[in-house]
Amino acid sequence: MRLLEVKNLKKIYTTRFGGNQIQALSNVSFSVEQGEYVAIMGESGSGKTTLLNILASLDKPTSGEVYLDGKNMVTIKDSEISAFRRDNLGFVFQDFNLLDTFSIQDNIFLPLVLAQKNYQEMSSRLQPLSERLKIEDILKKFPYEVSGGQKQRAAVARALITKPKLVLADEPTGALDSKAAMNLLKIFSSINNLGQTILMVTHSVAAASHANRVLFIKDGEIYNQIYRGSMSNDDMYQKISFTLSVLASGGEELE
Amino acid sequence: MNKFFYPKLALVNLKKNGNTYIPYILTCIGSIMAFYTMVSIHSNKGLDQMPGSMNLKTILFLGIIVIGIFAVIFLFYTNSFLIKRRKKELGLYSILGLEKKHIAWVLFYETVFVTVISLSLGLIGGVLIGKLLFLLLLNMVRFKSPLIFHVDYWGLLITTAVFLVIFGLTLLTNFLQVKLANPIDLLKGGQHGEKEPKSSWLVTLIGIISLGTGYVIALSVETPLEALLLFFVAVVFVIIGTYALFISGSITLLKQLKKNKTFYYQSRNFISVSGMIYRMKQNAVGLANICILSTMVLVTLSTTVSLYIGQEGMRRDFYPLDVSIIGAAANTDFAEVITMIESEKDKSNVRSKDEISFDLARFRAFQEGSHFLRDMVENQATDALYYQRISNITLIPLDDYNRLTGGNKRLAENEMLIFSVGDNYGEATIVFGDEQYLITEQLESIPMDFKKTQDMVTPTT
Repeated sequence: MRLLEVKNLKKIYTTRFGGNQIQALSNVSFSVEQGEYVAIMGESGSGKTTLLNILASLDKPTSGEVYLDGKNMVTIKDSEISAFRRDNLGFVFQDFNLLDTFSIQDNIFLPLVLAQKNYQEMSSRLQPLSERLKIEDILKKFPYEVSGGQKQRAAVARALITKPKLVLADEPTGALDSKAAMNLLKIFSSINNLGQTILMVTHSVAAASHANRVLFIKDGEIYNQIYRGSMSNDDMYQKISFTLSVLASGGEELE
Repeated sequence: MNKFFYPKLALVNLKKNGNTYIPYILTCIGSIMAFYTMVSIHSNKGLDQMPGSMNLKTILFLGIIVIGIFAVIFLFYTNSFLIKRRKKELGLYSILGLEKKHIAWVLFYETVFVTVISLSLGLIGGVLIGKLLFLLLLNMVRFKSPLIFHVDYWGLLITTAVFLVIFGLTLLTNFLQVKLANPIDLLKGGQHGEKEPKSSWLVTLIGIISLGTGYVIALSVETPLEALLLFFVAVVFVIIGTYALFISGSITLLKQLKKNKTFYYQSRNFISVSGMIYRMKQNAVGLANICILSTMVLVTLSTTVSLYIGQEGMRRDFYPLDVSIIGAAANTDFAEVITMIESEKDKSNVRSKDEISFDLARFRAFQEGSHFLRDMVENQATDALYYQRISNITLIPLDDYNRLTGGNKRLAENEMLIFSVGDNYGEATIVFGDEQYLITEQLESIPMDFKKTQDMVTPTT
């Protein structure tokens, strides 16, 4: 089943006083199936973040359409967009974005509190999640008291607790050391195995090599994609590295 | 939808951000207390029955305006500081599912709570402190009787209204911040790369000019009556000038330093100048606030202290003698007056010393160079400069003068000795109406000790 469908997405930024126009996305089309784990790679300035912002409904494209579960996110009304985001999307950020004024548990509850769920439901949702993410021990602590890896796991819990259709992750391993990053990627793989659809934007080859599919974006267009098929993570790693070096050298000869 | 959701969330936010909101609320309470105290003293009914209350009231009224302006600036500054710190939180709310409308509600309730808390505590504190200050004022002016302290409902109302408007405006700016920014910006708000601060020559120039104007006005004021109104103008100018100079002037200066390459690219200056530019951007308003506050404290302290200490001197100038008895020449029998005084003294067992007596004529006149005109005195224009040119003139016969000083001065027809309070009377002649007198001598002192209050002239008889 097709969960996310992106058609002919185009985004042009105009500086405030007219003048310069910057084309961030020129023509992007792809789709994501239910239960897929997709990584998007590209150099900085290639339009990754713009794409993610549009998929997160934080930004509007200049033209093109984005369907999530058959609903067009581009034409959705401003007044409904927050609720739509809350009900359908989960976010994991590079710098966690946990609030220092709340305990880890309250941070995880935040989206449910904003959705005005009752406490019984919140805690019944948290219980299995915190076990799976191994954060039971730090629930009562505050973000500044725990390590980066623990913070990011808490942020993942916050993204998952609303049972979103799609989790969007923006450089989730960017601020972590390699051990914590590996740990987080294992968690991503395991929640993906449980059926969670994940879309991740990343620089890191190691992070991308855990995905089922990697999309490469260059100059605002999808340049290439790699399917895992039966490849192991290591093979995947090799292939991604190769594609990236071809991409960097401008490579016309690939496929 | 639970209708208590937003108030609850607002309350949680205030609690969680307590370490920034408590100082903010304290600031609000302080401003409200100061404002209410001034308003309540100003509108106190008992004040009307005090001599010179008009002047006191005018000063208090100007004080209210200054405190009001200051409260606006101060609260806006603190509020913008707070909302900047909370941008990440608000952005996260927005991404995790609160619409801007809902965030606005949360902000609204937060403001309502802050307003209710600080207004109620501020007014209670204001009533108490107001009472204390009022007693202090009573003690200082040493004026007993009709001043009774009461809770001033009118003052409560005005203070509430003024601060509701201020809080409303801060809320509006917060709304605008949320409305204009999209969630990504809010989320990144805290870590946004700082833009190089803008500076404008125009604002700097305005700052220099208004600061200069303020001080020139303050220093060039000559008469107390003028001072009353001009002082206020000067204060406003100085406030504007200080803000403009701190906000724009400092950065203009630093940018000029930066342009000077040989100066800028030295290890010492390189870091301090470029760092200062950003620090000034963040702290200009705060530093300006501190400057203005300390200037105000200095001015207030020095004026009140010098006024208070000068009281005794002023009293002595106005009333050099313990008792003075003045009679009108036409219908007073002076021998009879002296007998009366002596008998009264005997009756109440009072002794007297340093008695002096002399004939005098007193009038007020309007000075035009060496001409003193009596006619224009009746023209009661309230221009401060007009009062400045009015002299009190006392004429004393030469015989009495010589008797009291034991001197032996001689004067021809149309000649005078002159004693002038304050500046020396510079002219060689003096004219009253049609009659011109030649001045033979400027006296350094006179035994009557009128000192500061009257011009004094001794004519021939």
